[in-house]
Parts: sequence; C-alpha cells; structure tokens
Amino acid sequence: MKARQRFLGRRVPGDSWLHRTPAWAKLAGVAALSVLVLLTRDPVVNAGLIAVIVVLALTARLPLRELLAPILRIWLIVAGVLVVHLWLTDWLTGARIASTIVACVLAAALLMLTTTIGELIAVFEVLARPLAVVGLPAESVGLAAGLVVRSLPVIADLARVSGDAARARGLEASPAARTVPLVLGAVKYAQDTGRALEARGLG
Amino acid sequence: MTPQHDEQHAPSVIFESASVYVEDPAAGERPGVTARRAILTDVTCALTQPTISIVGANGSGKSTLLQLINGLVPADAGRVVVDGLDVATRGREVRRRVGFVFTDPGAQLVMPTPLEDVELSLKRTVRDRRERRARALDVLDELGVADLAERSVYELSGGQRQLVALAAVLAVDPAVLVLDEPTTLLDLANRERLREVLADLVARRGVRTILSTHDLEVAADAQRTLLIHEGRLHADGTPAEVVATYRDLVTRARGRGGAPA
Repeated sequence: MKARQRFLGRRVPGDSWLHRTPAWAKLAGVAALSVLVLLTRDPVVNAGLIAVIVVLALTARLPLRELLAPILRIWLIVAGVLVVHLWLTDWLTGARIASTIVACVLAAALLMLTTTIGELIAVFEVLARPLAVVGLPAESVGLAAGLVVRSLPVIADLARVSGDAARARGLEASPAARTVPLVLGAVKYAQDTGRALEARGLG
Repeated sequence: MTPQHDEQHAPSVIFESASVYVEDPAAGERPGVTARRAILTDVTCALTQPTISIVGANGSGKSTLLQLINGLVPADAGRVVVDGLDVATRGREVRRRVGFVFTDPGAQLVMPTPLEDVELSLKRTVRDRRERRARALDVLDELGVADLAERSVYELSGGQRQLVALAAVLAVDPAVLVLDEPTTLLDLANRERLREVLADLVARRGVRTILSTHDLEVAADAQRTLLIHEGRLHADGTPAEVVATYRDLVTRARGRGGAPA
C-alpha cells in the first residue's frame, strides 16, 4: 500500500523506545497534547509541538513518510481551512486551525505507528471498567473501541477505491458515485467484522 | 428432549429437518404481499465422518447449511445438534467447538496483522498477553506463516490470507472446522497447499472438517459427500457416487436449457 493511501491505523514493526513505551502512556500523551493545542490556540506553540513529534519519530527510527502519510490524505482539508480563513477572516486564524489539525493528526499517527490495536484494546478495557456499573462489560466496550480505531484505515481505503471507481466511469464530479459505494462498503465491512467476531465466539 | 453435552456423545453434526426461510416480497402471490421463500428445506442427516464435503450449484444452499452448524444462521424449523449441543440453545458453546473459515479471508481478518488477528481469537481463553502472543506465533508457525506475523494483512496474497484465517480459527483448538468454499479464491499452488494443510490437521490434530466446494477434486478428498440442490439434500454418499449424481443433474439441466451449475 502506498504511503498516501495509508491513514491512521498502520503500525510499523520495531523495538524502539517508543514501541516499548506502554500504550496508556502514549494515549495519555496524545490526550495531553490535544488539550494543550485546544487551550493555547497558538500557531507558534502548535509548530513547536509538531517539531517535537517529528523529533520523537526520528529518535524511534520511524520513516518520516509513514508519519506524514495521514497528512497527505487530508492536505486538501488543511489547505481549504487556510484559504477560507484568508478570504473570510485573517491568516492567523487559518494558521491556528490548520496547525491544530496537523498537530493532533501527527500525534495520533505517532501513537498508531508504534502501538498495536491489541495494546490499545487493553487500555480501552481499563478505561471502560467504570461502565460496568451501568451493565456495560469492559471487555466488549474495549473491543468495540479498538475496532473503531481499526476501521479508520479501512474506511479511508474504501473512500479511495470509491473515488477511483467513480473516476474510471467518468463520474468524478458525482457525489453519489463516490459516496454510495463508500457507504455500502462500510456497511459490508461492519457486517463482515460482526460475523467474524461471532464466528470466534467474541460477538 | 434436548441433548446435553456429554463426553459419551459420539462426535457428530446432526441436522433434524433443518429449514431456513427468508422474507421475499417477490415471492408473494399478490403485489405488496411478502411471502417466505425457502433457502434450505427439511435437511436431515447425521455427519459422523472426520471429513465431509458439500457440493452444489451457486445459490443451492451450501453456505446456509454450513452457517447453521455454528449458528451464524439460525434454523427457522428443525434443529442442528453438534456433539450433543443444540445450536439454538447452546450457541456459544457450539461456537467454541466449531471454527468457521469464510470463502473470502479478507472478510474474516479483523486485525491489521496476522499476529494480532490470531491473538484476538485467543483473547477470551488466554488472559496473559505474553502467553497469548507465544501461542499465536506457534499456530502461525504450524501453518508455515510465522514469517508473516507482523506484515499488514493487505500485503498478503490470497493463499497467505487463507492460511492466516485458518490459523485464527485453529488457535482456539476447534473440534470441528467448517470451511465455506476455501479454495475458490486460490490459485493452483495455494489450493494444493491448503489441501495438504487440511489433510495434516485431520491426521495430526484429529480435527473434523466439513467444507463446501465447487472443486470436485477437493470434494473427493472427503470420506463422505453431500449434494445440495435447490435447498434440499439431493444426494448423500461417497464422493464418487455423489459427484456422478451431480454431473448427471447438471447434464440434464443443460439438456433442458437450464442455467449451468
């Protein structure tokens, strides 16, 4: 799969310090960074955090193209935010929002590149334990949350395939030609996943 | 009386007048009236041999019959009993005994890598994560795909995916392995590899296999073959007998200008 086709959810095998760091610590780091960028709302702080993320990735010997792959998938959105704010408000607001998106996506990418879905499910299960008081089993909630994370690259790939299919039929301008196969594919993926879990006694 | 799970029960998969219906608006006698259409009708047989194959045309009901075995599809009439356990009332226990491999392994692999996928199968039975990982690697190694453990499932060939899907099922040590057209998407080399693996599993692990297939050579590997035709059990016997009946059925249908099987 080409780097541009990847979106959050792919782990790079390895044994770096970041791979060995417990998943809960990395998840807490992403949460802390997200809170920080939303509270400060400062593009300079965001730029600093982006630089820190890149340095962390380099120290863990992660290929930069892997780290930046999700940004390549959303660059149109980031560029759109910038253009709209240059037009309607000012460049500072545009830079603030765009850099917030990039910082959060890169932090999530760093987490996903060094953490297995199984490790994340284990953390989600611990976080879901309090839900047992309202009758929700932590194991099921953790598994469901892990599968939501797992579905991100699958849905992103479905969107790419739907776009390619629409282009192949000369229907690139048709929203229906792009979205209907995407929705049907997503529903089929959900059904297949449910059936696969049920077949393993995990449903 | 509902049979209880008992070690004295002979290993068997028993269908007792099992039927499956779907609501079908097109089958109604008047517009707007929905009728029931039979997918599988009154199937009765006891499967006790270690290897069973099921043949039949596309849409004949083979997959539905297989999915009855572990309750993925519930019987609307009759019942299915696996090793003394009624699927309708003890589905969870049945699913622990019955491993199911889908035609398309891509629809079965839930996790991003083979190792994580096999680990997921072991989640409920092996609590310790290190032991779970070691067991998962053992199963992948058993099927000769341990070197693919950390690859993305999207980078695997069809044959490799089928073996990983099989490993994910074998990890929980099923007594019965149900495979829905397991060779349909495989090339010749991978088909042969899968046949070897299945024969080895039956001989070494004592796993019983029940598979549906359009490949008459694969069907002939079994000790007993069923022919499903238009939702009914049309023939039941040795592979040679049943395949001859199937060929005759197809020849007669073609002679009448019917759709090829």
